[in-house]
Amino acid sequence: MCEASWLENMMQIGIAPQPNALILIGVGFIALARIASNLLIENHERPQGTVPLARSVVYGRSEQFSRHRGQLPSSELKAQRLLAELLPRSQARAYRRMGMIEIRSTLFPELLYRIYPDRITEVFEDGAVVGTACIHTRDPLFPPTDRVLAEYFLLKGDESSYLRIANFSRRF
Amino acid sequence: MPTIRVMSAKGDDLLEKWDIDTGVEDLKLISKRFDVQCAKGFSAFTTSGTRLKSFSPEIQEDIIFIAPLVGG
Repeated sequence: MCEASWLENMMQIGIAPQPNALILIGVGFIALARIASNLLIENHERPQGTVPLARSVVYGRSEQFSRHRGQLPSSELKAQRLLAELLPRSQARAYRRMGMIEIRSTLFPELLYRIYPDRITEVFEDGAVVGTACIHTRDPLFPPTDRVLAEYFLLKGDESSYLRIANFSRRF
Repeated sequence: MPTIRVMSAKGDDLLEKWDIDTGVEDLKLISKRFDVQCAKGFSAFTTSGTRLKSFSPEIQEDIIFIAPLVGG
């Protein structure tokens, strides 16, 4: 009773915080906490020897990926291990270090495909990008590195199918 | 006897069904399962990159199935 009248007096003379001000402070605190949390996630140390992926890939639209905030999903890690086992050592190393693999076209030897886990595949001719190839797994839940591996094998073993499936855009 | 590999994301389920790593050497069964995977849209390759349209007991290399791809 005594405390209530004290608060009422304070509110009347404008010293005590108004309810709206308390809500604003609360919202501000939540916003600051989320910013701090995002910064921590971005600076999270990834496991040694794994390929960094763009934030949009790791925390993609699917629930499967968003559950693994701050670290690569286990399916992605497994895909990276499989890629390291199956690709020639130099390409596996390039993928680990630079996050991309290159494979020369068997049908058009002047062309070179550069496959990324988090970007559209680029097509090079004489060192310059001449186009892009858009292709992805039918099931969106496959991790990005599985798509890289799939593209690699399709380009290597059946490029004509790859050319038939992918959507190409030419860059001048 | 080749080892069958499948893509990682859902590979574990498929691998269990294949029973390859557990020593089942029934070639007819493997061949049948090969066709089933191909019918699902998976493509089979040897690890050196040759596309396989059907299973052959002469294959000595490991086989990897890759998930179906579509244009973006």
